[in-house]
Amino acid sequence: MTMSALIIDATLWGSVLVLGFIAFQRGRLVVISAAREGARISSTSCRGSRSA
Amino acid sequence: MFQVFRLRRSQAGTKQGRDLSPVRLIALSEPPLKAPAPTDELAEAEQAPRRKRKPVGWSMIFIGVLVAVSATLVYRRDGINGVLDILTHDLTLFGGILPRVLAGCLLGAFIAEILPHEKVSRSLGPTSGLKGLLIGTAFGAILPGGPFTAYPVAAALLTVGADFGATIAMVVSWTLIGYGRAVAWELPILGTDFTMWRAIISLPIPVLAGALGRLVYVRMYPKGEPS
Repeated sequence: MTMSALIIDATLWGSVLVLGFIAFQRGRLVVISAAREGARISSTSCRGSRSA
Repeated sequence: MFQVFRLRRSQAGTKQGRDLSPVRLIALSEPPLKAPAPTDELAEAEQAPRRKRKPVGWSMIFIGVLVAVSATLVYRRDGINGVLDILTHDLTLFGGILPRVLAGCLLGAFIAEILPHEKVSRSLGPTSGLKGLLIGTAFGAILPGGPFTAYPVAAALLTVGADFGATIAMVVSWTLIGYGRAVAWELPILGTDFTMWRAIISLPIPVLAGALGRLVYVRMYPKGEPS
C-alpha cells in the first residue's frame, strides 16, 4: 500500500469514526440504525442488485 | 459494480435519535424532497413492507454473460494460468475495495443521521444561492476516498435537504479538485505545479455545473417534485 493510499484510508476511516462518535453521543440507537443502514447499502451495492 | 441510490427518511425522524424512523432506498433519478411529506404518506410508508429485491436481475445476467465470454477468450489465449492470474488480481482488488465501500456507506448513513435538516436546507438548499454552490464545492474538494465514498455522501446530502445544484457542485468538485486523486495520482506523476494550476483553473467549473443543475432542475420540475 502506498503512502498516499494510506493517508486517504486513514482520513476516510477517521471521518467514519468521528461521525460515529457524534452519532453515539446522540444515542446508541442512532449509531445502530445508521450503521445498519450503511451496511445494508454497501451489501446492496456489492450485490449489484437494484434497490427497491 | 456500484449502485446509485439515496436514502429517504421520513421527516418525522429526528437527528437527535429520540424516535427513529425507517429509512428506505430510492433511486437517485428521483428528485430530492423539497418539503416534508404529508403525515398520512409517512404513516403509509412506515407501514408498507419493504419490497423484496431480486437476487438475480437482468443486469447481473448481462454481466455474468460478459464475464463468461471474457473468461473463455482468455482461456483460449492464455490457458488456465491466465484465467487464474486475472481472477486472483480481481479478488485482491475486490478485497481492497470492500472495506472502503463499507466506510463510504457508513459515512453517508451517519451524515444523513447527524446533519440538521433545516440547517442543510438553508445552507445547501434551493434558496442557498451562490453560497450553497460554494459550500458544495468546498465539501467535494475535501471529501476523502473514491466513488465508494462520494456517491453515498452525495445521496446523504440529498436526503438531508441539499438541492440538485449543490449536490452536483459537490460531485463535480470531488471529481475535479478532490485531494484524494491529486495526492495519489496527479502529484507523483504530473508534479506540483501542474496539479496546483489544474486545480485552480478547475475551481469555477463545479459552481457553474451546480448553477446549471439548478436551472435544469427548475425547468424539468417547475412544480417541485413530480408525483
